[in-house]
Amino acid sequence: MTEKIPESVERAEVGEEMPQGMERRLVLRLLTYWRGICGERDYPSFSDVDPNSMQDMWESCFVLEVIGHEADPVFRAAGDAISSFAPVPLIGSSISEWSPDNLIGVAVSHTRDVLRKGVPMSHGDEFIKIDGTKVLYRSILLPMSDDGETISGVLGAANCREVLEE
Amino acid sequence: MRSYEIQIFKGGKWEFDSYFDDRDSAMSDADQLAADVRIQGVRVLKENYDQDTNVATCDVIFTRMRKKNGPGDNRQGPQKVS
Repeated sequence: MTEKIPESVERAEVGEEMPQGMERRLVLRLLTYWRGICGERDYPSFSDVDPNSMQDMWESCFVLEVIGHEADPVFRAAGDAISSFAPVPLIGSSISEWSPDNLIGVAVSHTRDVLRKGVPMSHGDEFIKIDGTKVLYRSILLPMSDDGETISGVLGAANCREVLEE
Repeated sequence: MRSYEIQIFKGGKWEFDSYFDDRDSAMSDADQLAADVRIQGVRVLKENYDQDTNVATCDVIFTRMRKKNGPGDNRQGPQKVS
């Protein structure tokens, strides 16, 4: 059977973008990327991160600056997808400004645990948006370092889906 | 409260690698690590933390060690750790 597709519709083979058997979960793919750029060091550097080589993941990523903001890290960069969940500008804000009724607030809620333990941490749960909608989310926070030893920032990512309840 | 801790065997000892709060993601990640020929061993610890008593118990729910003389693996069943 021939399927008629309007000329304005562009079709892409999914298999070309995502090889069969490849992990689809954002948090596991980003963790694999982090380990790849980490090499033999304890932590990779932000200079190792190339948004162009991880475009699909970068959309859901954010960067927290820790040095000089140890008690309350500050957002320094963010992809379009994660930024779309911010009703006010994300860049320049600190993590304490975000409440747990927002994807960004829950995504950074374990930042201090990551700084204390010095290892990647992934969390998933649900939260209720201000309009009462239930949202399932999964997030990951990855420690980064300029010198390979002291944590100077955090690379994070999160995605979510709303749960429509009858 | 329950969490899953992945450890890798490095330099003759087990080191923290990452934390997950769901078993499925932790086991998927452990499987992926175990397939990496550069990694000598991987294990997953399930930590149960009782907030009322402030006591945490750990069970090793997955262990895979790479054999020294080949690419084979050695799975072990659950075991208690102190």
